[in-house]
Amino acid sequence: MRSNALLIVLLASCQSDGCQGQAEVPAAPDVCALGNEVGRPLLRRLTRAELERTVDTAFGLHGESWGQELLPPDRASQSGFPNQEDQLVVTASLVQAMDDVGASVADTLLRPDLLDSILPCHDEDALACAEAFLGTSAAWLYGRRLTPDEQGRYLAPIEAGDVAFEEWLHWSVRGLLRSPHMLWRSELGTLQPDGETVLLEPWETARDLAYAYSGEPPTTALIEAAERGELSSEAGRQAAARELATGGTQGVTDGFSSTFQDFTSRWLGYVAVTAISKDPNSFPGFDRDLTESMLAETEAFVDEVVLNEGGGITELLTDDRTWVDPVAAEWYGHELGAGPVLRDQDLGAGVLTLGALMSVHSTAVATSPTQRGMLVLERLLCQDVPPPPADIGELPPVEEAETTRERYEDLHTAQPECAQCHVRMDPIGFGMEHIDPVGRYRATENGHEIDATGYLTDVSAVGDGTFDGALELVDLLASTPDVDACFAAYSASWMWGLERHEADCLVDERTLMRGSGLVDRWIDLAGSEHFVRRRASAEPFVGTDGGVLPPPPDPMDDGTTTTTTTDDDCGTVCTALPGAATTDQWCEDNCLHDPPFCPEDLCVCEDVPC
Amino acid sequence: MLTRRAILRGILATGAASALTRSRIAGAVAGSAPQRLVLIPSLNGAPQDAFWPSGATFPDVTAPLQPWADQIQFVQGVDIAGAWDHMAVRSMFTGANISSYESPDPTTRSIDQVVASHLASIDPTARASVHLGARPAEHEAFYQAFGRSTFFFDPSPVDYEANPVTAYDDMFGRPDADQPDPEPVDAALEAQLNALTLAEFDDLLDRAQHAPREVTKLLDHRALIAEPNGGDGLAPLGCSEDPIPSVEALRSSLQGNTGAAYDANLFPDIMDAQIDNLGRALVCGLTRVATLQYNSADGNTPVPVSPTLSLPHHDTSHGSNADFAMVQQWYATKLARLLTQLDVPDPLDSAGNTVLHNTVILWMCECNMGHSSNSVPCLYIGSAGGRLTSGGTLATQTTNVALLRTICDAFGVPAQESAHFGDARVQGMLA
Repeated sequence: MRSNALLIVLLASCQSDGCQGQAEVPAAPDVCALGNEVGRPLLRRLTRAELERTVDTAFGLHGESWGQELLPPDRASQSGFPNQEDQLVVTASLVQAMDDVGASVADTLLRPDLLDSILPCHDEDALACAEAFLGTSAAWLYGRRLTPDEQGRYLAPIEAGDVAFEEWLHWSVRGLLRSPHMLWRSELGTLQPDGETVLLEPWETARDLAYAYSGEPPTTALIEAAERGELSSEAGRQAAARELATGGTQGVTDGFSSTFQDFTSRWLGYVAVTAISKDPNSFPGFDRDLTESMLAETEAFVDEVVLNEGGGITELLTDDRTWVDPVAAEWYGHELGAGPVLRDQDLGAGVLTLGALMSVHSTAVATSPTQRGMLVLERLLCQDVPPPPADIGELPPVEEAETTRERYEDLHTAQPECAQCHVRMDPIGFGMEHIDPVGRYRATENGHEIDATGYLTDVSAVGDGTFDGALELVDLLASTPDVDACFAAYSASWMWGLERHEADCLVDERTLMRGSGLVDRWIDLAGSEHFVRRRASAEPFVGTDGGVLPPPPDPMDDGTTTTTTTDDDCGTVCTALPGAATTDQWCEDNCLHDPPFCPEDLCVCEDVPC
Repeated sequence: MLTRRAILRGILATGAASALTRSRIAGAVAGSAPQRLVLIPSLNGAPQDAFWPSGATFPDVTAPLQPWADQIQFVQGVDIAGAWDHMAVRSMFTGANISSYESPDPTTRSIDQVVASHLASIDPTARASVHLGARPAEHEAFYQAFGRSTFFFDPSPVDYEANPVTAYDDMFGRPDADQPDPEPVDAALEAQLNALTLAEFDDLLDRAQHAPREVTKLLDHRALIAEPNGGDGLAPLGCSEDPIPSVEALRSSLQGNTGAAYDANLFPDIMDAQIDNLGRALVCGLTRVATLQYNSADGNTPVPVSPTLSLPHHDTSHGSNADFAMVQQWYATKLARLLTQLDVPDPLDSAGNTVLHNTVILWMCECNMGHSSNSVPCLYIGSAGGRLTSGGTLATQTTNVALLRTICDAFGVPAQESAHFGDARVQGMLA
């Protein structure tokens, strides 16, 4: 008898079934063909995280509770990134939330202890104090100094003597936090006489760099550097980015670390590990404590290997150390000692084969070579995989005593319409079959030997090749230039808030310096012209499986109301009885329904000859 | 202008003895997430390719729910056990065997009553459960008749209220028509603030003229500032004690007029009003279990899929997939209206979670468009306080009773109270 567990495996795999009739990989947009380096002018809404840090910084409220919980979550794009410009819209909920946040922040600032420390001038010259407040906090919020007109609007009530300082402060904070200048990061620039080139304002470049490399608004020093023209050169921007990312130290700042960790967790999908569950009968102990430990393990790996030690793609994929707490150590069977644990080679190496990723990219009861293969194809090699068809058809019966590989090969390879997609994904996932659905090593599966051989195909000439096991797989990936380019594409997508294909076309080839650490690669992106210049006629990328959500169906706007008629003039005609609490239409629908429902006290039917 | 937050603080501070406040205090049990259950039957199925997502993008029917994708779990492979076709109306939430329209009513309790009883025993609210309808039958005379509009049993049929004005007055008390609106703190200052913000929009719009797509973003944002409720009631109503505009708009038509609540012409407005009633009742903790039933299994309520086109529900389900997708999409926009109401910080949850996070809304059909009750369209929204998984699709082979039993587990219902749903569970559903 089929078990639900096995059926779930097959159903999950067949969700990726079939590329028949699916669209081809979308062609690159025109901007790539033109070799342009820059994209379109944009308004990018601040993300929830950016809003929090901006308010903290602008008002000096780090560590205070000022209503952060009122901020609604951000929508994620298809890539899982919550900072994509087309997803960050302003909803009625957000408008309401910002009104409430404004009031809450104002209430917090007006606490006597805080007011005295943040605005000690509040007891003195109200107008001067208001000007000072706008010169600091408002500048942080807008990412630039306020214009004289803007300042004048805010100062008008207090100049007129209509309000006391405290009331003005409450009022102005609410205004600043609902302002479009605060909520939207402007990358609009100024259109040049040629009607095509758009040059960003210096403060726009400064604001972009600040959020990209620190997650926080720009400092006055950075804005002033921008106004002096120091950010107009590639070297100048890269120097500023390095300062933002590292603070002049050997390591990285907290802001950069937070941003980079957020990016990596979503690029590779392991952010979801604390939200997944497994079959408790098959995997007892896979609980929230464990998944949080797995997440911490992965973050520690990125922190040490990339952020602290300056690792690049090779180190990200092949470093054989891991940093675990006692919960994770017990789960994997690692022996804890001082420092990192050296992972057994059978478990592979690098971030790809850590427990969090392997658990996320499996089903509740079994591994999924298809999901793991897709992870590599889409996120490391930037190959687009068409979505599965809606109707996957009947499943073949499950054979007893099969390994996962055997079941997948029977299901996918045996059917030509499935094979054309799955031959790209499944063989990659087979290489990781020694890692079970919850991130642990397994020598066998149900008592059977595991065949972990696989291959990469349709990658660069260096990359095509075979492997046996996860260790050989990650070594092969680390030697593949496609992975470098793919990292750059996803990094650009994150940094510029653009769909990945669109962002990829803006990446300067010179940034693809193999062998550089990933932090350095991010800093190199600051040299891109996209930070200072845009093209007015550039269009967003529209793919067949992402980029722009499909619009709702168009209404038949012919000015008439369509009614559906079900009655004929002949045949069986059903009508409501006189005085019955129903209608002819109801009787028609129900008496002629299959199965019929025709209460005698409501309806009567008769056969009308045609 | 008092903000919602200030109103909430004020009510709590004064300890006003209103139904809302009593329920709020009752609901704030330390250390436990204030879970809520909402059941919304959807009728006649949906085109498969327009309901189930492929990848991360929701198709036509479920597209209005995309903003909450990370809180939605599609559940594929749910068969309605013991019934099929529209007979499943009386089976889908009870697990009872209903083989024909003439079958007797279930003798078991539906899940809303099971969960409501359990919650009442540990954390009572002013109302154990609330049951609302939006033209759930073709006529007032069809109330709870013919198995078309009766989904919930205790085990006798659970009453529902189809008149949103009656529902509001019953739950929240009839607003005093003579009481003047509260004056804003300083009307002139508020007007000055609004003018300042709109002037800033004008400045930014001037800068954006060479970027038409960005102009659209600003205009959409500006419209929400200029018209705070967006003109379509999509702003959360929160826990205010102010009248609900969508309900008040119907008061003259529906006050004391039960039959008028079944007027097909009023269906869209009634739907909005009932959604808003439901949202407030849940947010404020008046109840933690609620149901909303709209249309009936064979009802031909005209659904306004566009400003110029209405489609009769049942007949369209037998027509083109594209047309019926528009019908079901319209209902999804109403569900999105509810989600907006619930996607606010939970006043009953000191951990700062939203009401939506603490809720599970089950949106399930009794059958497919072809009248089979196998693999019915089914999804749930929210995680019942983190007890349920979300943000994807569960590919299963299961039944409605396993789904109901799993939800009972999530609410901590004792085994003996939910045993009539059987022993099976939906794998991968419990967090």
